[in-house]
Amino acid sequence: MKNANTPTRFTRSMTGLALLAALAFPALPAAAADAYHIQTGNPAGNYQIDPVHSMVTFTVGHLGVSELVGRFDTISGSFSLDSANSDQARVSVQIPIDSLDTNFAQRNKDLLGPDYFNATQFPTMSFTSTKVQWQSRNAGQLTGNLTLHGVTRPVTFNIRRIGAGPDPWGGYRSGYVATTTIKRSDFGMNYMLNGISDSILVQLNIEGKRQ
Amino acid sequence: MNLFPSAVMTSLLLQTVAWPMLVVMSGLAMGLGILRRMASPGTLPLISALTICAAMLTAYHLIYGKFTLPPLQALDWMPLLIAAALPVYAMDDLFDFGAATRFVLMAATVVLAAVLLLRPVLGQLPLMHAAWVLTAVSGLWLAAWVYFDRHALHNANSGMTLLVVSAGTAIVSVLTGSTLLGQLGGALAAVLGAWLLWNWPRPHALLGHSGTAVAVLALGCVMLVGRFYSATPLRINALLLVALAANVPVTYLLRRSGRNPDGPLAVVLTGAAALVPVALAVVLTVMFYMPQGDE
Repeated sequence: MKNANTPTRFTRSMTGLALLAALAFPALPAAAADAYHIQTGNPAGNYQIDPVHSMVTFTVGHLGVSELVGRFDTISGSFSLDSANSDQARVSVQIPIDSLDTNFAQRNKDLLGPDYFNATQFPTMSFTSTKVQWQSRNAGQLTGNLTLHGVTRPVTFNIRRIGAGPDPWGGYRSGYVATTTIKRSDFGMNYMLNGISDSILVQLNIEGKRQ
Repeated sequence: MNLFPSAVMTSLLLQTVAWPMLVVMSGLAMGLGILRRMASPGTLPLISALTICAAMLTAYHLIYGKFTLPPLQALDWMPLLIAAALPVYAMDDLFDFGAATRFVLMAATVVLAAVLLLRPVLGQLPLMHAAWVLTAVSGLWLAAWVYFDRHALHNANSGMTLLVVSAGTAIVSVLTGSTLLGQLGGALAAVLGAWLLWNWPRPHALLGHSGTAVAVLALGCVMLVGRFYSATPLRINALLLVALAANVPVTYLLRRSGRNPDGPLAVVLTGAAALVPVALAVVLTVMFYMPQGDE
């Protein structure tokens, strides 16, 4: 006669499965982290900027005590940045000024008005490259003309290629990060230079889909 | 570097109030104390116009950092417009162009100013809409100017009205999202406040054609840029425009009661009458038109 406390075959099987799962579970996050890797495909080609995976941010000093970050949510354009063929390199970016967001409505309105960007009169910021110099396969300097607030001036970005390779939908993508520091007074934005810094760090995170 | 938190606020107050007032006070002191003895009484409005123009140019330079030539954005036209209007209407003060010539000159000035200030906006509108906007803006601006100009040779009422409306424009601008326009409106109010102090209780140097031109153009620039480039609500602008007509009921009531419509009482009552729609504009802005919360 079976003792009531003796485990059945089913109970033993389920216990074994639970133990196996418990042992395997801690390894899952590590496996997921290891799964991400930089794609090192050929970045040559013409790319259309993917606005969903691209962003422009700017960092500005506030009252000499902090740095605030704002962003432009909309970006469009195209690029071709093959380090093996610098002469063919070109970048063209357009950013609607009214896509600005600093996470505070009053400040957004202030920035979009005549105090700073004057989005009504100057609705678009744009950049067109004139020269690319690569220091290595994945890092270089991108020079071009930045038009902001109705003023066009040469600007040089430090660029870093993140990666290039196929996406899960049958396309091919590459991505870059470009940073530079501009003086807003160079672009005619002179208001309140004692409270809001003149120097502004601009960063473009761009992902493109090969055409 | 001085990082004391109120340093920025101190700077704002100096740029907006202290320096413009100082320019007016010292200008009028020199003008009325020295030039009056050498010049004819008819030139006294020129002293007002010169000091008001100098104070507004000083304020603009202190607030905005520099004069941009050629003008980059719409607001950059403001110092040019008032500086250009000063000699033209000073000639009117000196030689009296006559009502018809003055009206044509004023009409040409407001149309030119409106086109220069609104060109970027008008270019984005359909032709008929742009024509309507230009006509409406020019018409209102001209009507206010003609009205103030008539009083500017007899009393200080128009100076008081312009002061109250400038202050109201400043507060509304700051509340709706433009500290720059708030500062410029505040500077005009401070300038006119200093001018009124010199003309209280008895006017020494009235605004005249030239002083009125400078003040009306400066206020018009701030209000127009606020409306079209900073999206100041139309209803709020309408209330501020209503305030510009504060002198109408005051003059009517004083005349009916047999009192002097050009005296100190008229100035005080005009200010009080202008304050009502201005206060309403500020309250409505706080209640309904301030950008709210995070986005």
